[in-house]
This record gives sequence, structure tokens and C-alpha cells, in this order.
Amino acid sequence: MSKELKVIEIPVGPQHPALHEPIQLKIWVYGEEVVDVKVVAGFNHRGVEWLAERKTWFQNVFMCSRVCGICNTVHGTTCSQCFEDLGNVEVPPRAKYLRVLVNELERIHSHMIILAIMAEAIGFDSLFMLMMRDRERVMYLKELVTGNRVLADYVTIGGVRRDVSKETCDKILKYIDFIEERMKFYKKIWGEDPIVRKRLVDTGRATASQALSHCFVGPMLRGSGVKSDVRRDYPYAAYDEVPFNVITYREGDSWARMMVRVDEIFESINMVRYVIEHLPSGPILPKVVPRKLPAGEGFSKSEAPRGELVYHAISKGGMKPYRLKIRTPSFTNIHNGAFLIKGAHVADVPVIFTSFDPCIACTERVKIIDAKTGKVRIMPFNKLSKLKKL
Amino acid sequence: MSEEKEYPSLKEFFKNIGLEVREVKPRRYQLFVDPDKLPDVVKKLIDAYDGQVYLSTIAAVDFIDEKVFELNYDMSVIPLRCVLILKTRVPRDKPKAPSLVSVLPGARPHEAEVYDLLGIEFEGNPYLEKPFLLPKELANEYPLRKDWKGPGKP
Amino acid sequence: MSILRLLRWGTTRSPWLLHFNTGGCNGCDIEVLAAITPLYDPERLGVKLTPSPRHADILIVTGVVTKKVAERLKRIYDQIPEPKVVIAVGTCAISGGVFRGSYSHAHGVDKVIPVDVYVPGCTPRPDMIIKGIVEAVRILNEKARKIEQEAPVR
Repeated sequence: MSKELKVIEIPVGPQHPALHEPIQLKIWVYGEEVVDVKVVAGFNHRGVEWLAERKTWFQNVFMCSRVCGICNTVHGTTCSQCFEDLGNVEVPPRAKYLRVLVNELERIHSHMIILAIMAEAIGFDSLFMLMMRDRERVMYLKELVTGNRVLADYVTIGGVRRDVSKETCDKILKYIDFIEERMKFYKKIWGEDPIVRKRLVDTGRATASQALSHCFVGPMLRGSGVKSDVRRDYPYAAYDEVPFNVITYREGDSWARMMVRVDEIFESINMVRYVIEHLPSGPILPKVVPRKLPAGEGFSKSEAPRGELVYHAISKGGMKPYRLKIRTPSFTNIHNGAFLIKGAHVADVPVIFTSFDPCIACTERVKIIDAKTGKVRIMPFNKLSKLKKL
Repeated sequence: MSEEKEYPSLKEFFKNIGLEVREVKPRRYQLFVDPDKLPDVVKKLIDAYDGQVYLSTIAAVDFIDEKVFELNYDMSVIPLRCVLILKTRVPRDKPKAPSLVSVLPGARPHEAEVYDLLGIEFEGNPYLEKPFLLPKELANEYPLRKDWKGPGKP
Repeated sequence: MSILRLLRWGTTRSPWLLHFNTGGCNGCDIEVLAAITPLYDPERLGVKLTPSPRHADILIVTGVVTKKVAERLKRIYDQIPEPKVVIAVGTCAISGGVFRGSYSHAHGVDKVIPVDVYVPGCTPRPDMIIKGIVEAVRILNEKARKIEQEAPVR
């Protein structure tokens, strides 16, 4: 049977403001099926590593928090840990526990936002609105602890900048119970609803050996059955004392990756409770924090909501680093994961791409190049996801 | 990939292939390798640990005083729960290194980024292109080299 | 009632927004997204998000304008029909913010397209963004009235 070629018409432009990291996907289609994919990146290249060589150590902690706004406390934590590793600075135990608290709150809000965006991408608008409304409680908790909703600037070299009071701890425990109740309701929808399952199951399947040889990280790796988590394997801050489980699912498709995130929210809620109940007393900063760091090499890894985050710093002594290398998880996941889109239908492209959690759901534009006629059409993402009729 | 299988420690594995690895900090190992031997060492590492090895990043540094580029391959070995940093050096006037894409396909974007920002060519990688991340005006420039004078003014 | 008066009533009673990220950290984007959720509820003001520039009245720009994206920003601005208003949200969109001095941007949105409303902050709260939208609607009303008065046919 000959395939009927469809050339799809769409206006140019950024799609639903639900997060954008402007990135371009070029897809070659044969009818409805995708034959080849190319990722064009660089719209977001701000020259952070070049700027880092020209700013002092403390200025760098502020700038590196702004590499990603959604997981900014994790960037701040890793950057501080890298410089502490270089300068052999000791962090007091109370500061370590507070760093874990803020990182886990970050993980909860980040996973909730990508679940909401996935709901939007498959057309389930009311779930999107409900999850965003419940996420506002987490932003309120972040504001209580750090002073700002999104960009916390909470972690610094040697410790943290603000302490938590007894009233804040009580409020956190009260709101966390509410969020857990709501998440039980959402877990039933993501796990059992037939429409959600029909859109997500069997799209973008990756086996465990493919995931490892293509160097996936984070929930993408754990969704294919590989048990690897930086918090367990290379513990930092207080993660060697706080108990938690590493979540894996065997299926390797988009549904498995989203379910890993749903279950990780429950683990994070338990970790927040443990931290609040076992918070040690003491100072939050050491007595002396050096302004100049010695020559050497600093390395630090952590588990951001999207995967493994690596900071590698080289210093020749003095006020500024000689070289700072930052590897964000989305860089690896997006470029190496693009091959999963081959063989899928055009309407599955936003679903698969959103399941990578591309630090904010995706592309400004998708270029569709029809293989036979060579015609090029451009389409925003939310129009793409509405193509498939159930 | 069973978790009960016994894997050799990194010191034993490297002793078997004739190299010596140092533990610089708890669970962080470091080793200097010649650039030509690198793909071979990585292939043996992947086979010894059943593929449970991945590359985190390639951190490339320009040591302009010593006239070398140093490449740090940050790798992670999952069954041993440790980090291995493989270091190589290539001369600054002939920046060529062998590519790992045939052994570990996930190294592709990291090599493309190093090629774009520092100009080190990875032989055997067909996906290198300029510009990858940089804007079109800087297509022939290498911003992370220490002797680059660019339009930025922080 | 003339047709232009009707159009002005329509656009100012229900302005449609278009959001474009020009390469920022996404902090301002999630605050723009939070500003359309039930807690702040701008739909009671008639505000709706649209994916296409041809249907929009207000353009919200976030992020540092990188050189690669500046050309697309100009193209999108040209595609929005008159009367239109541009809001620059966040310190990065106004002046480059913390990344000031890098080689890969045109610092600030107003170096590429004319801006009417500035909302500073890193990141600004959703309430401030809604205040910016209300201010933009007022400016939109004035622009629409000017078009109506200068029209040759009523």
C-alpha cells in the first residue's frame, strides 16, 4: 500500500509559553512517520564558562545559579561544593541538612511542572491547571525558607545564608501533608487513566543498554531500568544520612519516565519530613571562609531534578578560576536522546521530547521537511500534539 | 546486568592492562593516558564492567604557558559507585585527538562542544560542525582559548 | 459604531498574549506561566495565551537576547499586527543582567525591538507581571485610539 504524503501547514512562532528553551528540531518525515532527526542548539548559549573565568569565586556562585532557573538551588549547591572541594572548606552539619531540604523542595516543584507540561502536551488542560495550582504551595514553602519564589540564592561557599525558625518548620510539615494528599490523587491519574496511558505507553522506547551507551542521565536512565542515582552512588551534603529509595521502572518508554518522576516526588516528601525532624543544631556558616582559593582541581556532582550535574574547576590560585566546566543534564539528554524520535508518528514528537524533561518543555519551532517533495513546513508544538485523533 | 556479580576494583583492572590509577579523594580516581591509547582503554573498561560505564563530560583546558590542551574525561563506573577521571594532553599547535564515538556513542555532543569552543579536532567523529553553539558571527573563533580577544567586556 | 471603535473595544477588553523566551534561564518563564494559573487567574481580565504571533496583541519577552535568536525576535515582532505592545520581563531582558559583557548577546531587548513596559526583578513575582500587563493594556488602548483617529475612513 503506498503511503499518502501529507504536508502539514503551520505558522512560525513560539508555542505555548509553558517553558521554552529556544531550541530547534529538524524532522524529516515520510507521510506520518519520522525518518530522521537533527537538533539545532545554541539559541541559549550565553557564554557562561567564558564569563566565569573573569568573575571572582563568590560572584560565580551567583551567576551559576542563573544557568537554570528551575533547578537553581542545585546549581548553587554543586558550584559551592566544587569550590569547597578546591579550597578544603568544611561545611557545618546544620548547613548540610538545610541544603538537602532546599534541594528536595526544588525537586518537588520541578517534577510537578514537567508533569503539568506533559499533561498540556497531550491535551489534558484541566490536569495542567490543577497541578500548577497545587505547585503554588511548594513555591510558598520555598519562599518561607529562602526568601524568594524561584531564584533562591540560598547556598554560598561554606554553608547557607539564612536559617529556619521553628514556625517555618511547623508550616513546612503542614503543607507537605497537603501536597502528599494531592499527589496520591495525581498518581492514580498518571498510573491508571486509559487516555493518558494510550498517549504515553510505547512511545520513545529505550532499552537499558541503549540508555547506557548513549550516556543518558537522571529519570531517563532510571526509566529504562538502570539503578543509578548520584545521591546514593556519590553522596554529597547530608544524603549519606537521609534514607530514601532509588526508583526505577523497566519499560523504558515515556510513561515509565513520567512515573519515575511521580514516585520521586513521594520520596522527596519523606526526605523533607526526615530533615525537619532530625535537623541538628549549630552554626550555618564556618567561622572563616577564604576569599582566595589555592591552586588545584575541584570536582563535584549532584542529582538535579533532570539528572546528573557536574562541575569541574581548575585553579591556579587567586581570586578567579582558571577554567570552570559545567555539564547540565539536559545537554546530554536532548542531544543523545533525539534518536528515540525516529520511527514515531509526528504527533508523538512533543510527547517524547517532553519526557526528556528538556529544562522546560521544548522547542520554539519544529521544522518538518517532507522527504519526497522536499517541502518545508513549520509548526508550533501544541498544534503538533493535537494532530493525533484518539 | 545483575547486581550480585563481583566486579574487579579499579586498581586491579588497571594493573591488568599495565597502567596505574591513583585515588585522589574518596571514590575519585585519576589517571594519565596517552591520547592514542584512549579509545582502547575505554573499550576495555566498558567490557570489564558489562557496559555500566558512562561518560559525564569532557572538560578541556587551555594551558597556554605549557603549550598544551588538557582533556579531562570524567567517567562514572556504576557498579563500583565511583568517579574516574582520564587525563590526556595534546599539543597546542596540532590539536587532534581520537574520537570515542565508535566505542561510546554518547560522547558525540561533548566532542562537538569542545570542537566548537576550543578547536580540538576529534578524528573519527563525523558529526563535528562549526558553529554548533556559537552564533554565526563567531563561526571561525574559539572563545575559550586564552589568547582570544573577543567583543565581550564583563 | 465604527468598525475601528469596535476593534479597539475588542482588543483592550481581551488582550491576547504571546510569550517568547530569547535564551534565558527559564526562571522568568515559569513565573509568566504561573501568572496564568488559577491562583492569579488573569483569565478574568480576558487575558489568554496564544501560540501564533498573528493573533497576538501583547508580546512578552524574557531572557537575554542571544545573537542567534535576535533575528527570530525581529521576525516575530514584524508578524504581530498593529496595535501592539512589548513587555520586557526580568533584568536579563532589560539590560543583560548577570550575564552582562558576554560575547554572545545583544544586551537588552530594546536594542532589537522597541519596548513599552519594563518589569524588573530577578525574578519578578507573578503579581508584578500582571501589573505590567494592565499597564500594557492602557498603552494598547491609547495606540488603538490613535489609529482610529488617523484613519481616513470611519
